[in-house]
Formats: sequence, C-alpha cells, structure tokens
Amino acid sequence: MQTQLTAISFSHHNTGLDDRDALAFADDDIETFVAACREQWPYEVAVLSTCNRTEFYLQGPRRRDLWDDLKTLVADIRALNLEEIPDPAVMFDEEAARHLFRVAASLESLALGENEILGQVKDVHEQILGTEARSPMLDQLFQYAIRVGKQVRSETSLCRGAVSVSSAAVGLATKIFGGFSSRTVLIVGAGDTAESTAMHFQSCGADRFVVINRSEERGRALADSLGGSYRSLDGLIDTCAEADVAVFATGAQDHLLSFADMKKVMKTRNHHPIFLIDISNPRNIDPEVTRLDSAFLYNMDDLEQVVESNLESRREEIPDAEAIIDHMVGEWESWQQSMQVTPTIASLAQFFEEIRTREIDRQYNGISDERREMLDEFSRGLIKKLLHNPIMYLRSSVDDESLSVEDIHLVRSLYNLDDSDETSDET
Amino acid sequence: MLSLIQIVELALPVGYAAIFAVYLRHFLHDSTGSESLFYGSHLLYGVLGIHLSYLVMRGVHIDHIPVSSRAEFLSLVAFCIGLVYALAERKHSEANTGVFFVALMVATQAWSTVLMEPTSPPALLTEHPIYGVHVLFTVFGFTALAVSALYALMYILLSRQLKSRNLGVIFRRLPPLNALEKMSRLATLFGIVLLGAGLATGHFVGLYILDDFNFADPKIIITYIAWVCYALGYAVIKWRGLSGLRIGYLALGGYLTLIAAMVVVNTFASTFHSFQ
Repeated sequence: MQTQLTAISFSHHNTGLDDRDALAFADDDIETFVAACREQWPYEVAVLSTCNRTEFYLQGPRRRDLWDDLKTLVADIRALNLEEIPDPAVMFDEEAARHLFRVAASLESLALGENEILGQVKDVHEQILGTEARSPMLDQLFQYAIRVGKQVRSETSLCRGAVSVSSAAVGLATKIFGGFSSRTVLIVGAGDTAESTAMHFQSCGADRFVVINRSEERGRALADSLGGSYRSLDGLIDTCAEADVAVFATGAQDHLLSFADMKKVMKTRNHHPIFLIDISNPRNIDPEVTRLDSAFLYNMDDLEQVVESNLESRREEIPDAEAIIDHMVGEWESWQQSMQVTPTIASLAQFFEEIRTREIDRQYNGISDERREMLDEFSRGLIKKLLHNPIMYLRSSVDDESLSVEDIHLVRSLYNLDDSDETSDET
Repeated sequence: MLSLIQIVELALPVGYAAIFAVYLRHFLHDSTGSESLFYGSHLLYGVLGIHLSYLVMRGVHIDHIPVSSRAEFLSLVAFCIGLVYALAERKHSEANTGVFFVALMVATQAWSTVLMEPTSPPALLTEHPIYGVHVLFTVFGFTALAVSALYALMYILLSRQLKSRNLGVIFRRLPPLNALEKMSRLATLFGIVLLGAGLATGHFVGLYILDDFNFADPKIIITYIAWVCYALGYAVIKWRGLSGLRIGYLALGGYLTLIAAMVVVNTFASTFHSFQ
C-alpha cells in the first residue's frame, strides 16, 4: 500500500497573527495531538509550532480530506470553534517535503535567513524520536530537512549579516572590538529602545554597562537590570572617554555630544576607537563627529541601510539555497522510492500467489493427492520464474538509483496492486 | 642531493600556490567551524617545514648559509614572511588575513625558483657563519616590519570602510580592528627584536671580521635610524596606551618611508650591501 506525506500549514503567509496565536501548540498540546492522531489513524505525526507557524506533518495512507478529520481534533485541543479555524495550506508528497525543507532553510521565515527555525526543526525531530510509536518515514524526512538547513547555512550566505537594527549595531561593534569582554558600553537614555539595544549587547557578552539618563530613577532601574552603574548627564563627556561603545537613545531635542566635546573625548582616550550609536530622533550626536579618527558614528539611517543591504545580500542567496533544496528533494524522493519497492514486491508476490491458490483450488476436485502436489509444485515454480525478472528489475533499479516513481506506478497499475492491497486490508 | 634540492625548489611555489588557493577560499567563504579546524594553517606549517629543510639542505650543499645570491635571498624572504605570519596567526587564531601574506610568499618564492642556480658563488663574507646569522636576523626583522605594515594597511582599509558605511568584502572578511592592531603590534615587536639582533651581529662582523668596514654606509645609518624610531615608537605607544587609526598610519607610513629611503640609497649610493 502506498503512503502519502501531507503537510498542513498555518503560517504568516496564510494566517493572521491572532489566528496564529490561537493555533500555537504548546509542548503538551503537541503530545496530546500526536497521541490522539496515532490512536485514531495509522499515521506518523509531527507538529512544528513556532511564533510564526503551526504545521502538521503526517505520513500514512493516501487521503485528500485528511484535514477535515484533523480539524476537529485541533479545535478540541486549542479550545476553538471549528468556524474559527482558517483554511490551511495543504501540501502532499514532494510539495510537502519541499515545503519543510524551505522552512528548515528559513526561506519561508518572516525574517529571511533567521537561524532559530533550524533549532525548532531539530526539536521536532527530537520529539519524533522521543515518541513511543515509531515514525521511520518522518524521522528520515526531518533528517533530510536538518541536512538542508545545515547545508544552506554553511554553503550560502543566506543566514549571514544582521537583519535588525540592534543586531546590526552589535555586529558593527564586534567588527571594531572583536568581543565585549572588558569593554564598557555606555547607554544614554532609559527608554524601550535604549533598553532593548542594551539587552542585545548583554546577550552578546557585554557585561560592563554605564547608564546615563535625565531621570535618575529610570536610569538606575535600567543600570540595575544590566548589572551596571548609573551616572548623571553631567558626567557624559567623562564617561564617553572611558566607554568603548556609546548608545544614544533619548528624546533630547538638541545634540548631547557636540564635535568639540567629542574632540576632547578623543584626546582624553588617546584616540582609542569608540563606536557611537545614535538611534535618537532627533539626533543626539553632532554628525560632524564622524570626521574624527577612530570615532565610528552610526545613526538610525545608517543602521537601517546596513540591515537593508544585508537583506539584499540574503535575497541574492535564494537561488543557491533553492538549488540545495532541489537536490535534497531528489534524494528524499529516491529514498522514498526505495522504501516503496519492498511493499510493491510484496504486493506483486501476494497478487500472483492469490491467483495461483485460486486456480489450484479450482482444480482440486477430482484429482489425486499426488497430482495436486505436482500441480502445486509446478505452479509455484512457474510463478517464481514469471516474477523473477520484474523483481530483479525493481531491486537493481533501486541499487543503481534509476528507479522512477512512474516505474512503480506502472507496475502497480499493470496488476492493479493498489486495489488488491485495499481488498486485502479490508479482509 | 642536488636533484632533491631542485625538486623541492620547483615544488615550493606550487605548494605555496595551493595554500594560497585554500586561504583564498577561506577568505571568500565564511567558515562555519572554528578557526582551529581550518586545515590551511596546517598545510602552511607543513610547507614551511619543507622550506626550512630546503634552506638547510641547500646550505649544506653549497657549504654556507644560503643568502649570497638574489634567488637565495628571495627564498629566505618568502620563508620569513610565512614564519612571521604563521606565528601571528597562531597567536591570534585568525586566518582570514593569510591570503595576502601567502600571495606574497608565492610571488617571492616563484621569483626565487626562476632565478635559482644550482650553486651560488660564495661571497667573501659567507665564509663567516656570523655573517649568515646577521643576514638571517636582518631579513627576518625587515620582513616582520613589512608584515606589521601590511596589517596596518588592513586596519586602515577596514577603518575607512567602517567610516564610509559602505560595508563590502573587507568589512565582511577581515578580522576586527582590535585583532588587526594586535597582530600589527606583535609583528612590530618581532621586527624590532630581530632587526636589533641583525644590527648587533652586523656590528660584530664590521668590527671583528672586516678590516676596513665603513660604519657611515648610508644603508646602515638608515637601518639604525629606522630601528631607533621603531623601538622608541613602540615604547611610547605601549607606555601611553596609544591606539587607533593614527597608529595604523604611523606603522604603514614608517615602513614606506624606510623602503623609500632604501630605494633612494640603492639607486644613488654605491654600498657594500648588495646581492648579485
């Protein structure tokens, strides 16, 4: 019996944010869903649920209306009305595999080339391996997906370069200082922008923060959350002289750091490089500062330009990533075909055996036991010889990777094996 | 032994060219693994080992340190560039600048192979081993200073690209400014120590081996001045904790001035420091 891979996808391509939130599966939900599916249907099941997508991968008997049955289960688990669930994108076989490979390669991600998705695909594979019931086909499919994800990341630049303003700022700072260990990061301002940028530096290894803010209370609160110290605005020039990175994100209407101030700062710090990030609107640092040697000033526009340029570079990598996916889809199909040969050979043998038995039974009346035995032996030998060449052809085609889906379909159609499988299943 | 020497002579530029290809690939494609997994470094160490063996074999064959012809000198320069670079790369675990240095090695070694004769005429001074040591130290010293200048150039290029906000391949593939500065400084330190040793041994040769040595030779004076400037500059930079683009310009400008002075002296003054 031939099986089918089905992918049912709710993602940012076809579902709104509210619906995606409603359909997001927690680990417990996934466990319940997989167990219920396996209990009701003979399917291998995997669920990929991230903030941008909830997808169900099922391998089992061919059915085009699978989603109709699953929908009720999904509605039960997520406590939704059936009408509330939007229509998913439903894909089968090669299209479904290609979709998963594109997801793993992050071609389907909202932020093209993001890295988290590969980890999430790996988590799903872990789930598959951790489930009691065996899922050999999905296990293999997800292994291929992980290979695609890794290969795309190592052989193309699809996932390289920062694609958010704060990660671009961190990337630039890394290009100047190498790392942030024993580097001082000055944060001027204590609003959301200042905080999120500071957090980004902290997540990349910065551990020495100084916060300057007009409101001491908010400044101290941010400094405490970063494990740093607070200074008043009067100490800005002196603090700049000590800092390696200075992030300005305030609502001040004038320049907080003038060219003359910065000149003094550079002299005090013996012209050690300093990375100035001005993400305020209006700008807090005099743009003339960029004339000073070793003072690297980037404002919001500059950082956005870096992000756009990185995104453009990533987009240029899409054809290379797709070539890797094409290749891997081909490999996966070959593997699938090799998996289908064994059941086809078994079905073929069973088909011939059934004919043989039927015909022998018809002749049984009125012949001696000795003749029956002879007839039995003769028919077995005949069937064996008749099947020898087709079976050898199928096996050798798998070995030399020349077997096509059409070959299998032809064999199954010639002997109507799909119908005979269903008949034997029913019996 | 001569045939083996000649085979290695031919193999060296080929080996360095292969390593260049590996480093170029590394430079153009982001490495996903750690630097320690980069096999180009191990290939470089291997070929440098072969190169050293070649220099030793040739020394044994011609019975003096192989620095008496232009071809031998070039081969030594190629080896020195490789050695100084390999030490800097190992110290800072940064292989992305290798392509530039290995390119220089390919060029100098290929040139050397083209010019190389089976034997070189033993110059008078090569009969004294201390002279060979003097040449080795001096060549190593100048090479280290050249490596330092090349790192300073990379620092300047990366710095300018960061300032222009037009971030291209230099931004993507060169190591951080901080690493380039450290590598330049390390090479400068090598240069000062080795050139200092070269000057000291040269002085010894002039005083005790040669009868009518002229200490007023312009090349010697320039080298002394350069050494003093480098040593003083290094001390001041270290003492005052100076850093940044200006130091990069100083390192590059200093070396270019030294080379320009040497070219002028070689062109207009007849001195004893020349290679056939």
